[in-house]
Amino acid sequence: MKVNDMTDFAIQTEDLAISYGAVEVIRGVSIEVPKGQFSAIVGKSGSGKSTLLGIISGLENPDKGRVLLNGTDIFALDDNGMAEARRRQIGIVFQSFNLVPSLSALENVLLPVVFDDKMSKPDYEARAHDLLSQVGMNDRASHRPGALSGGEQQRVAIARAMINQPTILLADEPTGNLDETTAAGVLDLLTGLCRDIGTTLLMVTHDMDIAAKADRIIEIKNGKVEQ
Amino acid sequence: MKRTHYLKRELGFRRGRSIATLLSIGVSALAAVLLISIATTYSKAVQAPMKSVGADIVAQLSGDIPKALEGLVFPHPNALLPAESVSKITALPGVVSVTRGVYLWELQPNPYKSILGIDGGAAGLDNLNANLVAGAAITPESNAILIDSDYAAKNGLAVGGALLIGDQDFEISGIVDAATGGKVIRANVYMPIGLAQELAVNAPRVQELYPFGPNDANMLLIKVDSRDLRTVVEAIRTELGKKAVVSSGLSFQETLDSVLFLSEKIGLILALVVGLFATAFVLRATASAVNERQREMAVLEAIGWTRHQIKWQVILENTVLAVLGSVGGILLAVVIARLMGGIEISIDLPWDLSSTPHFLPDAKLDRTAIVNLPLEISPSLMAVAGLGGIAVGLLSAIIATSLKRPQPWALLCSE
Repeated sequence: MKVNDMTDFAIQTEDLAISYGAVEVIRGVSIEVPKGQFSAIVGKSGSGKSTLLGIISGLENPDKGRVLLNGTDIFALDDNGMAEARRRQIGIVFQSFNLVPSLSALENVLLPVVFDDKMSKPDYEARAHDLLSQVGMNDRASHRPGALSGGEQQRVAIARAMINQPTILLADEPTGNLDETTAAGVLDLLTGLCRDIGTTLLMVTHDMDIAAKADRIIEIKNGKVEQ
Repeated sequence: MKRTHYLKRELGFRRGRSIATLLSIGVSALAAVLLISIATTYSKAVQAPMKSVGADIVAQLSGDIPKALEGLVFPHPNALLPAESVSKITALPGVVSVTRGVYLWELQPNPYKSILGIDGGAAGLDNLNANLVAGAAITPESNAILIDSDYAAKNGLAVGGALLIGDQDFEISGIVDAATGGKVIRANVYMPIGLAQELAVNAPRVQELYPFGPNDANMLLIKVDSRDLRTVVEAIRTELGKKAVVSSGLSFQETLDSVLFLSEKIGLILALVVGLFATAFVLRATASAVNERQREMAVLEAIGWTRHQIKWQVILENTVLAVLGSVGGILLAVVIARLMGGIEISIDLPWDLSSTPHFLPDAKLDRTAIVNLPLEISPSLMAVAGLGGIAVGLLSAIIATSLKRPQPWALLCSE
């Protein structure tokens, strides 16, 4: 597929491929994710869907191919450019939350903007408190991750991903470690927040019920997009 | 939130690792400072015996052995110093003052004793008077004597009593503690030089060897400008010729060179070994901490920190620990040095400066000078130890963060 350089798409990939040793995990994947939509990447375990998300986030280098986020080829950026893109354009939510254990919930939310001067520190703090309120965690702002449940940690992780109001939110099995009720709440929160500020949501999931809520489903099978 | 806030939280959260790193850097800084300071203090000990006598150089001349070992004699290294040579030495550039002495042994039929007659002044009687433990001081005009405290105790002598020297009784004016003062010129009996000159003039065994007159001396205690020490020593050697016996800080250095070499080297080697162990430990602790935090570092990368910022965060954390550890170690070393006060060093004096008649078993004079030197920690040593500790922390963090890490996604992904 020819990549459309016009920026109707938040995410475009072109002919991505990656192998681990002799195993071809991603084989010529080209996708386009329209701006402001919720897209789900589905596939069986080991199909390569999570690896694809890693490449799109720039945290995994492909053997070949390109990734354009809002029209910018992220692998053409240097370390600073890549970091700035992740800080300002992308938010990432992981299956295992990945909060920093030494910091409180509020400090975790503020961690992405330690070096950011787009707003003043008090403004960032006010936004962090606002986000924690939106995810129902403001009363636990001073708690460390060790003192929070899985669902609470994921809510804090979502607030952290949204601190810079990203245009793209990448979520890798965000409900995978949560019970059904908590998962439903977290999913509603995630989709609701993205919808409110027009963030494009690209979520990896193996849960077809969740995928069914997406505007678009991209199925990965054996490292390729299933047509 | 600032990065320093994160740093503080991180160091507090990983308290065990922080304390271990602090301790290893602190203990190595402490050990290095103390070991090097002790070695340096030993090296200063060479100057101490000369300083305690108030002179930088002791000049003597080797002489001959009397035909019979009886009565008052000059020890072998204390021949008559020609008056002309004394004048020339006094006039040498760099010479600040010259104190004359007459050193005698008294042999049979009286019990053995060593006698030092000396001029007044700082390097002479004043120095002896300063070490009085009992009785009264003597002046160059006195007819009384001072005796060494050990000699007094051994022979049951007391202030106010009398001591027979030659065929005269001398009143004991005071008792001096010459041992702890680190005296170079040790003797059993001290007196004004005039009395000793008179004894020597009337001593047949002295006169048969030397035309010793009432104003002569057989020993000079010379104070010099320290910058001219070597030049003056050479000039005195030239003046007195082949038989010159010139003792100075330089000669102590020659005598103690091997000991000093060892103490300095061992101090340095031990400090290096401690430093190497600390470096290895800190490197291992840092590498293991970085390894433990790989996932956290991947998270930081995922949320928009540059690799450079992540690396500097770890380096900053280690540097803070290194600074705290180094400062703590150095402060502790200063406290320990203060508590120790100083170290007591016992130095064997060259025979020429503590001549005792080896042929008389009961005439042994303690040839050691006991020197108490304060354990000083110089600012430059503190600076080197501090910078060394910081370098260890810094280097460990740089190495640990330069090791190849897995791609961030591999640590964060769900599959």
